[in-house]
Amino acid sequence: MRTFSRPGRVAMPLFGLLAALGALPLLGQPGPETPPRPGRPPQLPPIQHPVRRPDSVLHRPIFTLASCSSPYLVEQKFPTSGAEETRWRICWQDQTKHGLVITSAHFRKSPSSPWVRLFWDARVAEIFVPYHGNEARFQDVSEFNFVLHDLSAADCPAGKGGTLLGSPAKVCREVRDRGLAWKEHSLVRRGEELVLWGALHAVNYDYVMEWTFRDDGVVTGRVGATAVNYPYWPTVAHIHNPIWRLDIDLDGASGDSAHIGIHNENLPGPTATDSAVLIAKETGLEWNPTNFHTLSVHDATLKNGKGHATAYTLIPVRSGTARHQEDFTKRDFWITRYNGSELLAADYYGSGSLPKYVSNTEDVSNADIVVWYMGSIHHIPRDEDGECLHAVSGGGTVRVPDEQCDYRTPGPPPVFWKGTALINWTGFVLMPHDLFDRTPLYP
Amino acid sequence: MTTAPTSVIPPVRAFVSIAMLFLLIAPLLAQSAQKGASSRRPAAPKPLDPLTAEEKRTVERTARADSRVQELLGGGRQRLISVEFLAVKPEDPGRAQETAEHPISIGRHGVALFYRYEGNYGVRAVVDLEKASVLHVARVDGDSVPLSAEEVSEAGKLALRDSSARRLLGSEAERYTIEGLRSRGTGEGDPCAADRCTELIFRRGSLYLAGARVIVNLTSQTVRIAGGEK
Repeated sequence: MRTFSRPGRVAMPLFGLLAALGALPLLGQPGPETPPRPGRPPQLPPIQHPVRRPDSVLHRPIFTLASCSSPYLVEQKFPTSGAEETRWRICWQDQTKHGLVITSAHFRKSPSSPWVRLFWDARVAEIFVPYHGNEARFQDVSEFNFVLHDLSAADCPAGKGGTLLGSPAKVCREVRDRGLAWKEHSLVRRGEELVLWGALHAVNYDYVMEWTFRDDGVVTGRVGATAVNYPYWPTVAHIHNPIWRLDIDLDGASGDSAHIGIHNENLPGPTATDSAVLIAKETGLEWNPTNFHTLSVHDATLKNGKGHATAYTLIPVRSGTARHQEDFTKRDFWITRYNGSELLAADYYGSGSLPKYVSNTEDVSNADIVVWYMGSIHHIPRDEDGECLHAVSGGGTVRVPDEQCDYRTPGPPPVFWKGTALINWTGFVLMPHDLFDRTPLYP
Repeated sequence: MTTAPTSVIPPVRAFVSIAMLFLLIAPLLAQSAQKGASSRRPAAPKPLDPLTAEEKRTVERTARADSRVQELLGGGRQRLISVEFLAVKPEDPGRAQETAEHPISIGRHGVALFYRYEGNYGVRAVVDLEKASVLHVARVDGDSVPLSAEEVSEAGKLALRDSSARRLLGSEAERYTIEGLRSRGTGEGDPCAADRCTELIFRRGSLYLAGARVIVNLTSQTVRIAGGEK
């Protein structure tokens, strides 16, 4: 029997021994702090890794009774050709307001492993768009009943790995080569990913809602803002703030806890420490780039083959931090106890509000929890966004100064705005931590 | 000398035999016919499938039949804004777990949202489709009720009948695609601070009309132009 020797590690919950140096001043109800972890714990005797057996031997029945049906059921094995190593099983819906909603997601890290639920539900819960001059403060999810655009083969070419889903087609399913998964000297592995995307039609604007499920268990969520600047003030800068609601039910709804991960450089000294603080009560948290803040969710009982507690860690991918007068924009992460009626992030005449949801500071340790994350796209208009045109008699148009399209400084009518803002993205990565026992996608 | 008994079946007995055989196979034939019919019927939706058109109609019908909804909506001008799918997470974790043997068990639910112009408020009803009953009814702030596609369409027609808007749109007014965003008003003096208003966006191909805003008050059924050449 061939065994793989790997450096062992003290088997205990991921965050159990971590320190809380520099605990966040904005933690509403910080949990017990743990001592700093200067490095890896002492080496333990090597453990045995299960011998890989032929897939046919290890094959377990996949779900025969899924909770959704085609085309809302998407299942993808990786690698796309050859013997299966990992597999995703996803349900999605096209929902008014929220657009592309993931209504369930399960991952299987090997054909012989059990399925692990990641999402009960994942959706965009708001896209808040305040203009710099206060011309408007659109809440593009709570305020409207926007729906996904119909898509065509041009959006989702089969030749590029695309499959249109829905009738009419609302979502594009793509299987993409994602470049290098890893490289080790002469050995190399290219990764693959399953992408589901749809475009929320917000009148002049389009929001591309993208969910990516990678072969290594990673999930990314992105929103891309594109299409036409607001035609009545097309040159006014603004910020798009998507807020995601991630109902992470790691291996089931109960027994989940969240920790904020904190990095500290012990300046002026040469050392650094990483710590994690349990979020005990509902609260909102600020993201600090110098602390490399992350938010991890782990389940009370889910462990990998080494006995390490499995977590999924939310890592922001962002260019800045937006803060507006609205209270729901004052924090970047929010952790709430599950409440099926709390689907919107921002208050809109009583529709919902993150600060309100956390105001009763319910217990979120070892519970059914929901994680919320706000990203931002700062849009400073540029000539590449479009141009202002004046229609001339006899047909045709001539370019006029952009200001003439603004309703406050208009040119002789009729004037038109023409052009599209190239897509700008914001999002996050959800990375498994101690889900696999060893490097995935590795011989 | 003996003779072999004749095996001729009397005609009456033959008739009885055939009749009995028919009685035996009749249920099987009926079952088979039923199977054929059901295979032509669309399969029942799974727990996480979107609401079917029929389910949406049932949600609306069930909500409208509920006495609490009727009392809140009363008479006067009103409309259905939306019917949406709702996944209710069960408290029993076993019912929320999908396994090889069974899907999740969460029933089928929908949410109907109505708007009533008089009084500017909405009515939200959560419907259990399996029990054909209304689980929850709430009155919501009218300002939180989004515009329906029908309202935007109605606003577009009002604008096309308005002389100021017609001047702005020119001779090809009918060629525009019209969409609308909620307009909240600019202050206490603005009727749209209290009324249901929409700001229309006019598009012709890739050209978006700019330089002046067209705002339609759906409550008072009036059209206002903001900005534009003085």
